[in-house]
Amino acid sequence: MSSVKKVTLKSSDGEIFEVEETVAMESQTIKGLIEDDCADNAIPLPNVTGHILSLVIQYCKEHTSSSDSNSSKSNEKLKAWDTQFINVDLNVLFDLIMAANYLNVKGLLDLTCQTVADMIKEKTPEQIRAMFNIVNDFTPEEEEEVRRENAWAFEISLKNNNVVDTFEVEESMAKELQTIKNMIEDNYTDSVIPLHNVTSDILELVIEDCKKHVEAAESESEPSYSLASKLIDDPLKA
Amino acid sequence: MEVARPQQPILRQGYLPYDIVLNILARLPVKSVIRFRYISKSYNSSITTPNFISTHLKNIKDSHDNDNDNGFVIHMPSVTDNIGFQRPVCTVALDRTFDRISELGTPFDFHYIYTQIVGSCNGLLCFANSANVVYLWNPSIRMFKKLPGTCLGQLKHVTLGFAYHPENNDYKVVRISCLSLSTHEIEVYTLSSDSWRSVGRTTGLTATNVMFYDKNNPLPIPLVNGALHWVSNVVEGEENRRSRMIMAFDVNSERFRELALPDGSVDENTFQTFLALFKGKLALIAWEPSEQPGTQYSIWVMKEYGVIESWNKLFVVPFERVAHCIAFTEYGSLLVCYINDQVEAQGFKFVLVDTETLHEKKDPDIQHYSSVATFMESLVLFDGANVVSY
Repeated sequence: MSSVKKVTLKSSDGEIFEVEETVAMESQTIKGLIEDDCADNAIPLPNVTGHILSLVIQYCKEHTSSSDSNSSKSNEKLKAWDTQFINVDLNVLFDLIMAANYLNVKGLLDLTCQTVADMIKEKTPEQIRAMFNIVNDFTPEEEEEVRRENAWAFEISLKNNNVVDTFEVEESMAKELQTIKNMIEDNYTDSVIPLHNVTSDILELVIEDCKKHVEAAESESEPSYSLASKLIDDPLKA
Repeated sequence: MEVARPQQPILRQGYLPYDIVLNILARLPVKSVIRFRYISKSYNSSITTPNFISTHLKNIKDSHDNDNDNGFVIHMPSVTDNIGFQRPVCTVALDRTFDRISELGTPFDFHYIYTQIVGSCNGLLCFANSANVVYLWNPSIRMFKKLPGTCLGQLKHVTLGFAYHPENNDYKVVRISCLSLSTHEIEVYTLSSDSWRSVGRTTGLTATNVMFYDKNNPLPIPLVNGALHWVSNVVEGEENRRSRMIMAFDVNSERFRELALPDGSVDENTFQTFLALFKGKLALIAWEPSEQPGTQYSIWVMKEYGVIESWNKLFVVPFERVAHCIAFTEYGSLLVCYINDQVEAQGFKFVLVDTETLHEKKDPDIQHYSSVATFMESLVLFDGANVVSY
């Protein structure tokens, strides 16, 4: 009979989990309770639902056994496991972040935060505010000024299908292309717009042409659309 | 053509606490951080604090540890083709192959012919020209800063070093001005004070009489174990014995310490010596004649810092022609150039050699006699005073 010490954890919705002490101690919060001798009965975790707690326990199990000297789990295998594990929908991901924070499981907090970071890096500030429920307290003038100061950071990248070349273009130019304009206005886009049907050299030509149009519009001269529109429309036809 | 619009994930009201959102932001690439500084005023304040910048830097370094293969270098032509108002273009490349990744224009003017990269720390580059104008530049955040003029009277035969000062989370530029043989003045610039401060003359800082600090051109003065290292010609003892020694300027205490060169590494036949970094350790590169026709580079590494006996000659790289050392990367790639004396194709010809395998890469993507330094992305200088954005 195994004499492995176990602790009992109780989720916010009443689910009970019996877990080996070493696994539970991956959580610094629980470790503290155990060491302070407060863990005789079930430890209530009012901030974590059963579903999320079971995931956290899974993570802790996997990562405790890897620190065993007997374990043959390599770093790569563990990373692969982590990648599989974290492939969950955004709501679950956010719940995992909150649980990892509350339970103080550093590895899980790093993993979940890094995953969210990787998801959001190409997004626009507007999308970030929506995602994290952040109120924009800049006045429109202030926002305009700071955007101008760091305009280069707002450049939209157009990528061709081989992800070989990325073209940085100003928003005004990208909007010359009706298709892209729609994408931008629908807030579909992150700041990298993949264009699967367009090769690099055509894209370069199109961008050159858009530049001329924007410049022409700014100088209020008559733009000549004929050749340009042919170039613009053709490659973007499905 | 109708573009199919993807489904946006349906998200409950975002409720991640402020600190966690900052934790996430500190893991983003630099360009994303700059873009997201405007999500709100409080995030804008938090992102421009030294604490956030340090956390962000640590995250970048941790992710590099997981990616052993590639570091980056940045190189810049030291000599502009046209005299005058030319802004050099810097190239960012992979450090093992010098494969070009991108080009960056320098945002400041160098009106003189010779410019060099003094050093690179945590993504912050230090540049200087032959008129003693010094700049700090972080290309990833498009910010730079011109340093104030010297606090010493006259500057002569200057050599510069650039260092990160971890005890104060600060950056320092050290300038040694050689007024005459054996008389040097030293000043230190700190980013936190944005000013130069005289540190005195060498006689106050060492027991040895230093005649000359070697500029190490075109390699930057290496920062190892918190000290900047110069090869120096010294005069010692009552007999006025002349020898060469390494003078290490401790960035924290601002005092020099002496280190001996490896035994037998340098003699009257040695053409030139350079100090560099090899995998975090101090390296001495000695350019000398070889037994076969041609020349060779002997590379010594001090395995245990401060322990003279731990100097080890790790590599010897032979060349059939006169090959000038341009750069030595942290992973051990030696970049040399020949002067192409053929009428049809004048100019420089470059060769990149992996010192461990002696595998040569002919014609790496570099065309000019250049200054080379390590490169990484960071937010350093983001919180700086008197900084110019472009």
